[in-house]
Amino acid sequence: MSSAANDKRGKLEDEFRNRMYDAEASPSQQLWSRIDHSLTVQENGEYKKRAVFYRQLAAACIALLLVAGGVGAYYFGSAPASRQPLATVSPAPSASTTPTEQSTATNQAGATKQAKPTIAGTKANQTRQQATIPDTITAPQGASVGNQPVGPAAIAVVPAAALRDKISTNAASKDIEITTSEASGSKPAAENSLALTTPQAASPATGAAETRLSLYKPIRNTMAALGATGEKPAFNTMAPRSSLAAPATTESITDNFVKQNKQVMARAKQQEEARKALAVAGNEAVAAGSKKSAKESSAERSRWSLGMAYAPSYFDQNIGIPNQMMGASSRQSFMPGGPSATALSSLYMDQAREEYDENTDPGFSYGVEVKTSFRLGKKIKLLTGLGFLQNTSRSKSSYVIQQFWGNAYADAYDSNGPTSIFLPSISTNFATDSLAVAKTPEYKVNHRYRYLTVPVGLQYEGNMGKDWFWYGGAGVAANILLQTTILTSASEVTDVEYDVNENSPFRKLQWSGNVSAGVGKRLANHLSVTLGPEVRSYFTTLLAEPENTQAPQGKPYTIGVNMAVNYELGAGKKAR
Amino acid sequence: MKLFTKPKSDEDKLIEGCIAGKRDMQQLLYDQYSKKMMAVCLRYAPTTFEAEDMMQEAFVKVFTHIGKFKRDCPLEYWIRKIMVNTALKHLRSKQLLTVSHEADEVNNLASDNFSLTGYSLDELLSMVQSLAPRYRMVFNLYAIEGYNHKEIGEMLDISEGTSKSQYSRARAILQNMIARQENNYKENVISS
Repeated sequence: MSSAANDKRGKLEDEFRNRMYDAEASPSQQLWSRIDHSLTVQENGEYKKRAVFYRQLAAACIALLLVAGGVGAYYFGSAPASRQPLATVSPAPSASTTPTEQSTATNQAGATKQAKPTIAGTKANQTRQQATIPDTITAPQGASVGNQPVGPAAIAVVPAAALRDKISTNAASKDIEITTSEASGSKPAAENSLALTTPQAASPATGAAETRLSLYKPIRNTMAALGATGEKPAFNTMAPRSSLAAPATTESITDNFVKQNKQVMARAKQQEEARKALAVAGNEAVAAGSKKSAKESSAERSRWSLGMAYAPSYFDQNIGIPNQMMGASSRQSFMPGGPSATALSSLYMDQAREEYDENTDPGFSYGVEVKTSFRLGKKIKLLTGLGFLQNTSRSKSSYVIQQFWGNAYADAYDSNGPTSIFLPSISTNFATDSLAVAKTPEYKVNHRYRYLTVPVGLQYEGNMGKDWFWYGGAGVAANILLQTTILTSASEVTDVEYDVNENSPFRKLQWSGNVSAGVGKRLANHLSVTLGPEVRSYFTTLLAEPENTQAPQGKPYTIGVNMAVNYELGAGKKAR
Repeated sequence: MKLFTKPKSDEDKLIEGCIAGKRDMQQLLYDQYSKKMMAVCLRYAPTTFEAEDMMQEAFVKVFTHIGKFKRDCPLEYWIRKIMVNTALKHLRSKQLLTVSHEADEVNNLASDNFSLTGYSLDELLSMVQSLAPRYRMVFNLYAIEGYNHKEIGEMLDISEGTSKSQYSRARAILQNMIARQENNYKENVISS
């Protein structure tokens, strides 16, 4: 008979099927007991598994809270050693000038007739101002125009008239001298350096100029150390003694030795049988357990895994320049006449603004995170960890701006030195007394924000093949600003840096949300890599007080690529 | 809008009780199907001891996965399928499904003129159990469970042709067994 012919059912098949399909046979009586026992063992195993799951979940939550609490305590609990004002974070490289120096400088300017623009502020009730501005400006009141062979350094210093009026007549004269370097006449324009003196206030009694670099007194936060002194309550540790009374057992001892021997033998036999029954039950349980554990170990994957991610991205800080910043105005503005320092300053401000808008680009940024993930279900994971973010934005500028704050009562001026247009535009200080704008060769500005980040997120994974999988994730992160740096490539422009404990205009704690998706590959039983785009958007603006700043602002964001390596802890167990 | 809901049958209540993990309901279900399923397991297992082993494992699976029963087929069919799959896994784990060379030479095929009415269930079972594991499996699946050779090939991870050839050998062995027993019976009758 050929094998192919056997596909047709014959009499034998029918006979067997009729007799055997619905046949019944009685299993042994113990079979249900065995099934019952197996089910009990399985239920206990599931209960244990669930208990372990909840224990691990609780451990994950506690670990997360501890990390977040530790970071929070470190950040918020540590009192700053000293809060420095904006101006003293990075003091301007300007040197305070004594009257002697000033006169020397003036003499030198007169003698050499080099480009040494000198703007002399007068007493508050005086209107006399002297400005020596190269080439481009003719000061209306006796300002001598120096012969400027090199040209492009043009300075305007404009005192705010309203504030000036309030300054008493006894106030000492304030000279703000802005000079180009003495060698500027012989050096090319690109090497022009700008030196801005800090405002000076002369003591009315002595007439000597006194430079005050800092307007604000450092505020020191002192933490009151509370010594916790607790006295241990005196407990009465005397425990009542329990009296132990041994049960009085009395056995009557029969003289019949044979009878006693039989009893002992019978008891020993019973014990032996019980031990055998227990051993059989134990073996069954072990067999059932080993079957299950073998199955489970092959099917189960470890819940915990460790990962490390690197995410290069482009960051948009989303801060613009206000259309109308502090206007450069003075009494001269109201006077008829030709081009003035005020007019030029305003022009430069407009140009600086346009330049900022045109040349501000997202910079290369990156994030590094170490994450631990906990598998909540077959495909969903809870991730948390600790990371470091460095967001960078860059721009170019050809203008230098110096901002002054005046205190009429203290008769002092303060400045954070020559900066790019960015810092004055985000200033929340409305008491700016004057602005100085100067044109310089083009230089680069780098805005760098460094964060410590504590991310929490969920990730969903789906299989694409044997080794490949896709993922999609979303989460939030608490970002703690560690350091803000505004770096410039020009030596004349002051770099500004705010550390974690310093008072800065930037938000110290910022929340962000991120969404990512991509593909992953399992390289080994416990090792996988993932790659995909990631978008991170911050929930608030970069500045701490956006309502008090004139600069138009949006919420910053980054767009980048997330690359991660994931190591599954305790994986790789195979069924034996 | 559903105005009337279908009243729950006893089987529905039984299933729901088992899903809830009620041990008394599980025992009821076991009592209801244990005899039929024992006969199934006996057909696949070489001994009663192994048949009980299979049945224990299969019933644990039934109670564990009864929540997945979609009620698109009779419960008995679903349980039977689990029994067959468990038997298959059991034999596979013991590597009993390797190709056997027993009774390769079955040349003298008996005719189809026979009846099994004179055989008891135990006799029939012992005949089936005496087959080599792979033949027994193919014979059970094809002749009694009603699967076709393509399905059997997929289940046993063999080709359809191999399934057919193995079934033909199993069938021939059984036919020879029956013929031999009939001859013995006739000889006994004549001699007596």
